[in-house]
Amino acid sequence: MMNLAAYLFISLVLFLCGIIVIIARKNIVAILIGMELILNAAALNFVAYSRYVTHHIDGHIFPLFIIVVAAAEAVVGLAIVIRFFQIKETIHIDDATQLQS
Amino acid sequence: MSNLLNWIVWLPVLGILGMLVIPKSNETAIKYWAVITTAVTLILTLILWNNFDPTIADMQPNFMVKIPWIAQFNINYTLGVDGISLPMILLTALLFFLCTLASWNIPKFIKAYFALLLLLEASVLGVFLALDFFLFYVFWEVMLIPMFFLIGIWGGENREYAAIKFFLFTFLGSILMLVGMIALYYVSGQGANSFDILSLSGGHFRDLTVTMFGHDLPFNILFFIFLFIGFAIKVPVFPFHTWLPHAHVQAPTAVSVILAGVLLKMGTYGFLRIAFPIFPAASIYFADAIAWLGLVNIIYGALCAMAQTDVKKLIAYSSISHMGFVMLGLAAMTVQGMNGAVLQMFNHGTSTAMLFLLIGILYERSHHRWIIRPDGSRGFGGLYTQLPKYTIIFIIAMFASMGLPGLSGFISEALIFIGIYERFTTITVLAVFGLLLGAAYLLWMFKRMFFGEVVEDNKQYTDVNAREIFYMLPLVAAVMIFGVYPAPILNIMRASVGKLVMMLNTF
Amino acid sequence: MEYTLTSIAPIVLLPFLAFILSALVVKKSDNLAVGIALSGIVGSAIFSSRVFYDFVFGVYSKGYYIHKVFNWFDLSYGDLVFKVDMGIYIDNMAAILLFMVTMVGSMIMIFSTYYMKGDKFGYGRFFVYMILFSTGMIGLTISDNLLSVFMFWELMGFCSYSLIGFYYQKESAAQACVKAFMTTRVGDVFFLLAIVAIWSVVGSVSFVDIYAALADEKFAGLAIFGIPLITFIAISIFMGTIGKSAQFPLQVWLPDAMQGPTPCSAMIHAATMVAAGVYLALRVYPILEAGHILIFVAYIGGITALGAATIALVQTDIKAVLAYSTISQLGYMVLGVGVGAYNAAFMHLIAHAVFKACLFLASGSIIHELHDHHTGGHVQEMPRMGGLRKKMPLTFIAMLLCTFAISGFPFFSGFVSKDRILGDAFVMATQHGSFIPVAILGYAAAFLTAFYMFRMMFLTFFGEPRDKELYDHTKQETLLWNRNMPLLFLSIFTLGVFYSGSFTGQGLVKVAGDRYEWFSTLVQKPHVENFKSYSKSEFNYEDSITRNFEKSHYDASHGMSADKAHHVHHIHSIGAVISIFIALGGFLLAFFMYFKKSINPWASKFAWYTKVLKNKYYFDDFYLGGLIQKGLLPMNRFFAWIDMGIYDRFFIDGWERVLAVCYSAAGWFDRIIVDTIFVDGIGAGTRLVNVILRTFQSGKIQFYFLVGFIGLAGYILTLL
Repeated sequence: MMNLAAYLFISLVLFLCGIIVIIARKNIVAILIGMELILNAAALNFVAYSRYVTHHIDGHIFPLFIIVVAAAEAVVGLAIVIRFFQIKETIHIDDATQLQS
Repeated sequence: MSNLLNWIVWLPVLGILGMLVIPKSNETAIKYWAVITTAVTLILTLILWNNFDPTIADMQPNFMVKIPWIAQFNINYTLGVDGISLPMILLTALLFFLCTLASWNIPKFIKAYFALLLLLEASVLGVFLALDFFLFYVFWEVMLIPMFFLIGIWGGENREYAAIKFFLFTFLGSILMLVGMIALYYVSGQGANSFDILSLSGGHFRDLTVTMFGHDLPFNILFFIFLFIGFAIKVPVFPFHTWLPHAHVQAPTAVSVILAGVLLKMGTYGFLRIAFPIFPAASIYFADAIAWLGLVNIIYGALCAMAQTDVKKLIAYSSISHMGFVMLGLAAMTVQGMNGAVLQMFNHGTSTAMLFLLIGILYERSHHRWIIRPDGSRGFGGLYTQLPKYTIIFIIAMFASMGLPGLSGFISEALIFIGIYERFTTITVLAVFGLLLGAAYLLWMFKRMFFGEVVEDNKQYTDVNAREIFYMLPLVAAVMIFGVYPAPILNIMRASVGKLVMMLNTF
Repeated sequence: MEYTLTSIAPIVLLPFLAFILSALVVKKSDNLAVGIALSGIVGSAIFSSRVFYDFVFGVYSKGYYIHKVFNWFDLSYGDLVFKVDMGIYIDNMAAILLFMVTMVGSMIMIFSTYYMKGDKFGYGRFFVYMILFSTGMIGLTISDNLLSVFMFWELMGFCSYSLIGFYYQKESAAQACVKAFMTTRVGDVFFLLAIVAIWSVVGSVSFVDIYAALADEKFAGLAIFGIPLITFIAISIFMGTIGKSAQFPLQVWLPDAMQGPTPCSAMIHAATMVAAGVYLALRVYPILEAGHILIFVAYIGGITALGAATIALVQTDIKAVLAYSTISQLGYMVLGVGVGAYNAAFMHLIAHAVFKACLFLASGSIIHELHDHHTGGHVQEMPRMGGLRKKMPLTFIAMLLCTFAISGFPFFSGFVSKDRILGDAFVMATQHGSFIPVAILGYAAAFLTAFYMFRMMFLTFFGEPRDKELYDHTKQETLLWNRNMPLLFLSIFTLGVFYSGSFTGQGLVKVAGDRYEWFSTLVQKPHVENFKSYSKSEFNYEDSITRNFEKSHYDASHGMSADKAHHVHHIHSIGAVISIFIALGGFLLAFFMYFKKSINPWASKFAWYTKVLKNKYYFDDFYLGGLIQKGLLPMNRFFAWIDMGIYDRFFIDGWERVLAVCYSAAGWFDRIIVDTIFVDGIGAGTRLVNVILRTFQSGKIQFYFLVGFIGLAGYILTLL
């Protein structure tokens, strides 16, 4: 039988994949995908703990919120990317340095 | 009916709100909307006139509006009308209506222009109706903003200079008035400090002193001076007058009309409503000075007017001269003089407005205002031949302005002279010669502009059109009817003015 | 029949209504406007002839008057009382003047339909002004107070301005109309001052109230500027007369008034405007008397009469001769007022109005027909006339009768009236030595009047035509109803019999069962004692018929001892004989100089004096060139320069400089001390930190993320 540790391990892998994508990739779209991975890892953790530790419905509700928020976030993020592309004609993350004084 | 004054003051503001939904590109609709708004305001003031009871000397009780506004400081939103303010209200509503018609050919930013004009109307009406000093001050200051932009944006070539000069001068007066107002607030009563003009009136502050720089100064003398300067700048009284020629020359036609016709009257109205009733003893103390200043205004304004070659500047100086008569009438503190002064305020409003409107009509054709150009050639000449209808209206306006009997200016000037003679005989004798100078500069201007052969570039001017005749007609009728039969105007003011004079005479 | 306000008001309201209507229709139809104006004046003439009849032949002829008052406006509040009443006051003098004004006005306007027909400056427009002018004079005549006199007075000033400037394209007309208005305005200003001063004492300016105040001695003891108030008022009010009736030193406007069309000159010079000044002086005669300025009045009149007569000697323009003769005759009237010849002055006013209107219309008749084909204009220069009596016999007859009248030939109106003025001056001179120069001035002017008038007649109608071409082009005169009828009608009334009826020494009018010379009987000095403690009842719309006049002192049996009256009568007879001889002398001199030789033999001998006369004693040069060009205008420019160039530039805009110094000092303090040391000091410190921190601020989001992640991981590690 699969136990809690297995779920947490998969979740950790997903999380690390997401971190690596965010840090290493220069494509903004890819970075957004990386963020989705991290969110999914978190959702998986919720479900796992709910199943094995708390035996309570709360942990099942939360992933639903996360999915919705992730979708909304993806929309906003992609909209920013599109505007960024229209202005800069690139989606390379290192070109987004306007914050630097 | 009890809300009529509210409607009169706020209707132009409603007009502005309505104007916001009209697209900027639809210029005709904006113009008509402004005309409708001012026309309805005029109709409301006529209803007010119709329901006015001339036997009541105090504020008309039917129309009083009193709503707590800033209750912590006992500031109320108080509006009221009596025989002194009603002629000014009528004049204001009439002139704004005519001015919207006269602004048909404004070159730019039409929407903003009419919105500011309506805001100006609301604030001027508010000044004439407010009975709370704080409210009065607020309206007084609000009036500055549209004036500043109207002169500064739609004015002539030197408009920024004129607008800033106007603003700074008036603002200086406002500040002094503010100081006086606050001082009054603190002495107005223990525990129940108030800005209410009616309860401040009656000379309660005779014996107070105020310590300034280690000296005990009489309260009423000191703050009468403050209020006096505040209002005198608006009149304008002699040493504070130089903003007027600049502002008049640079302002667009309608704004000149409002400036000469209404805004100058706010100064003298301030004397009648605030300075004299609140400080009666001080105003009697300073009556001599006011009379002499009035005399200087008359003579000096007339002398300066005669030297002008810019026709608008000439009329501006003539306004200074004519307002001097109002000052004289106020200084008289007799029933003839005071009534004459209020009547002169009304009559000067109509006759000078006519002259400015006429010059505006001419300016739309000529795009200059030189009687004699700076290079010495004739700017205008032979307009009698070129513009016969225009000339007839101009003759009426000019003779009304110089006080020809049978037209409106004469009665008020005669009343003022009769009023001041006993108290200021020397001044009367000197001031009468102001009439002579007044005739001289106007006739000389008329001769140079209208008689003789037509100047070459005047030959393309067209005569007045139907719209222009339409908006001149009410004023023509006013100067002619009130010149022969002034009783309608005098009847509404005589009780209120009489009460004021009686109150002043007890000091 | 009783008079009510409504039955008497049409006298002034009809012409006023006609003015309004004609002004409204003048753009549409000239002829309609003319018709309305004519019916207005004729209607007024009909009404006033009824008044005239009642006052001369009827029930009112014994010194009664009609006085009706209505409230104009009322400023009273509580016990502060101020009311202004207007009213109608008609006594014998007003009734006679009213009749004259409306009749002569009608004649002038009928003549104008001939003269102005087809005028390119507006046939109808002319009549609009003329009817307003008549309204002004009619209103002035029947006014009961000085304020409404002043209002109508100024209204006439406006009309004269418009009529003199009628040919608005002519520069000279523009000059003349401004000059006329401004010069009379100088007098008006004093008049207004007098009104104000009277009001302060009497509380009203109604004539009866003023008389009552004089009788009650309300003015006694009052003074202004160190002179008695009543003297000040008298001089001020007389200044009004000086301005309006063109007396020395304000006579300059009247000759220029001929820039207007000729009928308007007739109106101004004869029937209306200038008569108003004399009428005013007669109305306020008690004030002049109480102010003790009658001798001043007499001298002004005498100087004006002679001065204007001398200028008329050298004029070549036919209208200019008539204009100066008007001034001269007005001088007579004022002289008459000054010497106390109250009814003679008034009689001369009426007589002069008739013959001067006729003379001007006759000159208009000449000028209108003399058409210069080279310039396209009308000719009014006498050197180009001559021999016209053959071409214009009817005009000639009318003008000749008027010339006899103005020259004071026996049996003509001028003789009757002028003789009495001069006779009275003569009487005064025998009684007071200070009046001797007045009498001399009067007689000298009478001589010159006869001379220059016949000079004009000879130059115009006699001798050979001097401009043959002009003469030949002139049409032979035929009888036109609107050209010759008014002339002949007016010239009939130059006969003296209408004024004195003294062919037989008996008057025309029966008063109290006895025949009197009607002028002397009806027109008498207001006797202020009769008005003592009189006050008009308020708002009375009823007649107040009271007998309030004394008999004139011409009536030998009244007011004087029989001995003295005989003496006066005797002196009068001497004076009359003298003036007959003087008139004849003037005529003969003119006859020999101009009929026999038709040159002026004296012009070369008195060249410098001729030059002075041609320049009108340099009054115009002094006023226009001196006072206005050198005095007023530079002063104006100076004040305007002070105002904008000095006061506004330095004292008002100068604050900008003061502020500039203030704000640059404040700015320096702010920049150096506050800004550099305190603010920038902190800033520099911050920047140092900034440089360090800046290296972390790469702007690369992944770097930030990495740092954040490492930090988080580190934090978690510390938890473990």
